Amino acid sequence: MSARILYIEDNESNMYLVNFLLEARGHTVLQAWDGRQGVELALREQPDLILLDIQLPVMDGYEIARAIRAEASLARVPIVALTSYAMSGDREKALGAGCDGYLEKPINPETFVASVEQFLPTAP
Amino acid sequence: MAETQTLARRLVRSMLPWFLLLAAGMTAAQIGVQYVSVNGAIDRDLATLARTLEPSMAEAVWELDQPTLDGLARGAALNAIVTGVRVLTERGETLVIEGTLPDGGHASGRRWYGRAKAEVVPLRYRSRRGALMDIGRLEIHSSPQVVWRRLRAGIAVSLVNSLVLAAGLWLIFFLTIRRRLARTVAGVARTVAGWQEQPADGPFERLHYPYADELGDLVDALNENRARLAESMQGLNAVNQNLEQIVAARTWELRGAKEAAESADRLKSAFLATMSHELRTPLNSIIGFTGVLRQELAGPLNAEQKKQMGMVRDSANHLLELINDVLDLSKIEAGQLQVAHEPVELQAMANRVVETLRPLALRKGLALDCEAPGPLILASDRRRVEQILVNLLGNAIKFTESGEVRLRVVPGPETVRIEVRDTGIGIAKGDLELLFRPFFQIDTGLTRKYVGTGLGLSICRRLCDLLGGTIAAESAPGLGSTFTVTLPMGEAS
Repeated sequence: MSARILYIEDNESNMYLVNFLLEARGHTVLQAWDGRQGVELALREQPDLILLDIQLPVMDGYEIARAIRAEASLARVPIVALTSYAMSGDREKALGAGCDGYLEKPINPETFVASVEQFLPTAP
Repeated sequence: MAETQTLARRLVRSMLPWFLLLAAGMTAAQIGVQYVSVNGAIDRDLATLARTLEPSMAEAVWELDQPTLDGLARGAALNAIVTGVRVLTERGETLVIEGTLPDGGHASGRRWYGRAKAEVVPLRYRSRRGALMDIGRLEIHSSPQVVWRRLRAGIAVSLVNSLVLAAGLWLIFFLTIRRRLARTVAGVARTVAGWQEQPADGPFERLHYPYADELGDLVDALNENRARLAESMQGLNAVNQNLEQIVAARTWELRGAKEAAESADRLKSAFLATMSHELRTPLNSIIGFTGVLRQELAGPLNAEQKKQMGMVRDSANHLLELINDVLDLSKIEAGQLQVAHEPVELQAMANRVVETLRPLALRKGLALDCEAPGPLILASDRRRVEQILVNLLGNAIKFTESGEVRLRVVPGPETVRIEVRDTGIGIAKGDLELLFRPFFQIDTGLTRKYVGTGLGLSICRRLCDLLGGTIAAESAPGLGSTFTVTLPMGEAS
């Protein structure tokens, strides 16, 4: 089953890595480099899942999550936060901003894709 | 005012008995002298009267001229000092009695108030031949009452005199004390009392006392003491103010230092958090791409390439471990690490941790035992308890070359004891104390061999503190080590 996944990330090599891992499993990755672009792309493309980096310039991941949740057409899209923040309360903050899941960086390349796929809606 | 009256009265009261005693004594002496003098005068008068009457009486007795005798006796009895007159013959026959005689006819009857007086004169007749013949005797009696009657006026004058004098002196004394002593003392007391309401370090009302006597000395001393008190208080105030300024300055400095320290602390925490984020971002790529390559997702690898990629992965994982430890420590030190209070099943956790680490032990040929009764539930932080177990067991395996590593869980009523015992290289006594300090790894000359962050035990100790428990180590070089963690059972929720 292939899904269309939007990844919002400002770091080029992380973008490439996640893109590579997901496409190796047959998924399509839509790339956005900041929050504004990400929300636009999400509205236009209506992806199956949104992967969201938290440490982003201008608009951080929590704000992006809230902006996406504010759009009626995107209200049900699962959002998975991907962050290297490991301070206490980050998980709660991410879930509070509207994220459905939370994965820590660095990712485990052997289990990463499976972890993401858990959050995909089961049937269209 | 009541006090000053008391002072005057007390003085008067204490003197009054002596004064009265003295006055009474003087009066009594005066009366005594008068008595003696009046007594003597009466005695003399009686004698004179008797001598005066004797010739006429003798003549009348000789002539047996009763009417003359009676007349003479009556005349004598009229005298104020005479109470009775009697004329007797030489044979004792009474010829005349005029007035009253003392009881029983005794010439000298005694009374409490004095002796009865009597003047007895023999009546003699000189014959023509010139011979004296006793022809009878004349008795003239007087009584003590006569003396007292005479004295009465004198006594009254003396008593009145004494009373007036005593009362007058007493009044003068009382008034003088009141005016001179009591009033000035009261004034001094009022002023001294007023001092208490004035600030001790300010100007004060001096005491005034017009006389240079003992009280004057006292007043001078009080004035001087008060002046000294004011001086001392002024000095003390100056010192106090100075002290306050110093304290304020110090407080300001300390506050500055504290703020600087806090700000440095915040900066340190922020720096560490940022650093671990910045370090993890490239590490994400390193671990990620190493994984991609090792899984041959980007194409097949030969054996050597695969082995080298494995080394890259291990190094990257170690680096990640280091970063995680530094972050944990900085979080604990910044007080940002919050521990949960959730049910933790220790038996399952111990078994799981042992199974996770078993491959490491097997690789070194070590036996790995787990002895944990169960189920054993305590209220604690699952993730942190597991972190402690992994750290201690990992250390034990790392520092043991042969033999065994044993994990033992011993439940108690209030606490649970977790022991990790190994047969490793052991720790010298001096090093035991340093063991839990950050970045401390014992220099055994084998340091290179034991890779690690040196933060594990330091983190374990801090986690134990946070969880309300303790951690201790027992060891001797060559005999292995035992680490004992004690955790509270907590309230079952």
